[in-house]
Amino acid sequence: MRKLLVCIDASNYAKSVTDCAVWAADRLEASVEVLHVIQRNDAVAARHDLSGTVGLDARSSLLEELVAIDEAEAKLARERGRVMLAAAEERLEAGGVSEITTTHRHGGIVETVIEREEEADVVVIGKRGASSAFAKEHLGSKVERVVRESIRPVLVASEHFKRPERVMVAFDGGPSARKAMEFVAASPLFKDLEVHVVMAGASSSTRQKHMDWATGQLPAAIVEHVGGAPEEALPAYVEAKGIGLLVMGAYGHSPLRRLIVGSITTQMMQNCHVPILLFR
Amino acid sequence: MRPACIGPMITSASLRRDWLSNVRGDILAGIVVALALIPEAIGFSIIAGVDPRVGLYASFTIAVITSIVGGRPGMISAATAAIAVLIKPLVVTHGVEYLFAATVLMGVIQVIAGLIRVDLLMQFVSKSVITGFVNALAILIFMAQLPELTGVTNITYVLVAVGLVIIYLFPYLTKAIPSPLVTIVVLTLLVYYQDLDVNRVGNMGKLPESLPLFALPTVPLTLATLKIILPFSIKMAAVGLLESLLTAQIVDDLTDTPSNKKRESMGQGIANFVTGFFGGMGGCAMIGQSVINVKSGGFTRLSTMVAGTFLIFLIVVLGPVVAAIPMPALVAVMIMVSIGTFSWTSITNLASHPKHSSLVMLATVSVVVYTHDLAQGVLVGVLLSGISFASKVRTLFQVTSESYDDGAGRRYEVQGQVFFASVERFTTSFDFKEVIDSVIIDVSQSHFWDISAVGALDRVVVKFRREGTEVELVGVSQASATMIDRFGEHDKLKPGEQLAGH
Repeated sequence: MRKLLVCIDASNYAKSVTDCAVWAADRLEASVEVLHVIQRNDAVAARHDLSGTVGLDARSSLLEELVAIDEAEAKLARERGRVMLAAAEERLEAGGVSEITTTHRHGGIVETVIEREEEADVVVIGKRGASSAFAKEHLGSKVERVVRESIRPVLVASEHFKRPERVMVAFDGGPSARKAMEFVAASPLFKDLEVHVVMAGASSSTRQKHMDWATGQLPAAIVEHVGGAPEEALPAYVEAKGIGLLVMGAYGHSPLRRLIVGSITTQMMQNCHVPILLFR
Repeated sequence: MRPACIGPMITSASLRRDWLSNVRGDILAGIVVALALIPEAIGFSIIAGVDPRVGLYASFTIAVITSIVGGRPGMISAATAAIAVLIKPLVVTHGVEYLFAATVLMGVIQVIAGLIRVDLLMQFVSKSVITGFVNALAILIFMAQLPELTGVTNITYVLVAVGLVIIYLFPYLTKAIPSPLVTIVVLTLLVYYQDLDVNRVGNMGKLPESLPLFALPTVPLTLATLKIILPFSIKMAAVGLLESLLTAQIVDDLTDTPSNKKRESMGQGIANFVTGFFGGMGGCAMIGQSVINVKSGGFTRLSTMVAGTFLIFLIVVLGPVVAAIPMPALVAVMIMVSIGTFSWTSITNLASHPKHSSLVMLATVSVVVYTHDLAQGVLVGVLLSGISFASKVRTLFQVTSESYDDGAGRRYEVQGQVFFASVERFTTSFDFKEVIDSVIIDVSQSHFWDISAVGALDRVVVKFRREGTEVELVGVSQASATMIDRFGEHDKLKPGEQLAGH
């Protein structure tokens, strides 16, 4: 049986993440594991003591103090987490998902997701995390790290979920895009959906070859080419054709390059307001 | 061993976590630490009998290098008291160049020690020994201040007292400024404007005027040189690793994050190796400074890096001002470090802790204070705790017996752990004076941990046979399985057969 790993946090994406999961679980006939990670703020950083003195039994008293800070926060975070998990479970049940497990873990979000995805087929996560809710177009840095380190397809939920009828594969012929294309062709997730395979950018001789390959994978697909830079042309296509789900290869380049020239994946995630299924 | 254990895994995520996850806190903490490092580095140079610049250069290079290659983010390493007390004889008899050579060799030894996982030996250092180590270190730091407190002007005592008052009371006023810094500034101004008659840092030797320069230690590259420096290098390496691994554990506990002890051992080695070439004395992690760092809100590599670079920046830019710092100010700061390092609860715990634990702690402290060598103290402590453990565990077996055949025979049943320390008690558990025809010794419910234990059983069998008693052994192979497993030689060594020969 297939399994979805659904990651929720305190952000307002939790609902759409859950809805996304209901849709995917229904089509894939998958069970769902809901994951909430309690990430601890470092107690060390919470102190504002630059006195630089060490008094009697400085080590043990400092340890006591740090433990006390962490303890109080952890208790609060645990209760919040339980409420969130219960809400997600209820929503999933209402959506008709029968097999639901909840996992509540301490640790780093990225590390825990990577650890838990071993048994899962698809990871579902919100586009932005709780900590970045104030910067509107800013992408959760955790999402990028999850996508980069994950070995599974990652379904990034947008703020509002609507059942997709048309799916677009942003196709550049690269290895991760081919992986995405193969997945779209084979997975029941996309059964009976209208699939658009779209290449962007200036025309070249190899493009036709890539497009032929895509047609070979999924004969029913509408294979198209649009002009212009991918990060602008593709979101425009999504708008124009009423695409409900975007599928693409992600982060083909190193983090260093991303720092200098930016990432197409990040721009696509910012510009397209639909769920995105990402492949590495 | 998985490949991941051999080299540190460096990913963009780990780099970000290690360097950039707490930028503001780390920079502030690094500055606080740098300010406290200056008096310490100067103080430890004086303990070692070298110019203050030797300790200051060492603190710079060691802090910067361990921040990059060390295995415990947020730990502060620099020139330390533990190393300083060891090297004085070398400096006095052979000169400072031999110290640099010894520091290079110390680094090499530590890298090798890291490669062969000497850090795992830390598991055998008990809590009592660690407490003893920490207390001894605090006492050494305090004792090192005594030369500055004997045969000096009365105003010196007044200034030290004023310094301590400022250090401990100023934080009640504000915690935004490091109180040791306030102490130093206030006392320096006071001494400067009142022209008080006290020692100043400038009187203690040369201060750095530039960044440290790379230079080979000017010692003859001969066997004779090696003979001189090797004993020192080994001691320095051992003490350095001990304090570093111990401090790493403390920082682990405080921040509740793991560290890579192997990488830390090798990182210490690399740092010392390089430091020797830049005219610095050997160093290691510092308990007091690391606690100050965490207390000030620093816990990534960045804070150690900032501490090192800010330290050298201050020294090079403020050199003439540093020379005017009165020694009483430094003494006050060092007394604070000593008090902060000492485990005061260990004194009250003397009453409640088991006697043998207290004995181990006190023995460690006494040996260190007597020899000025932390490594010897720890060695004694580890030996004592090993012996006290063995003497407890030796009672973890019992021999019961019942007679059969109307008293013509007796069946002994051995249960529990038998090893070298239990041999004597084991042998006396059998009654050889009883006149019987046959004896069955059932050892299937026991573990024989070593050759001594098997030898003891052997002796028991021989003794019974001398009395003309038939002996039957039951379950020897199960009993000695623990021992054989250890050696992994099931086929070669068959104690059952060996014993049956008698």
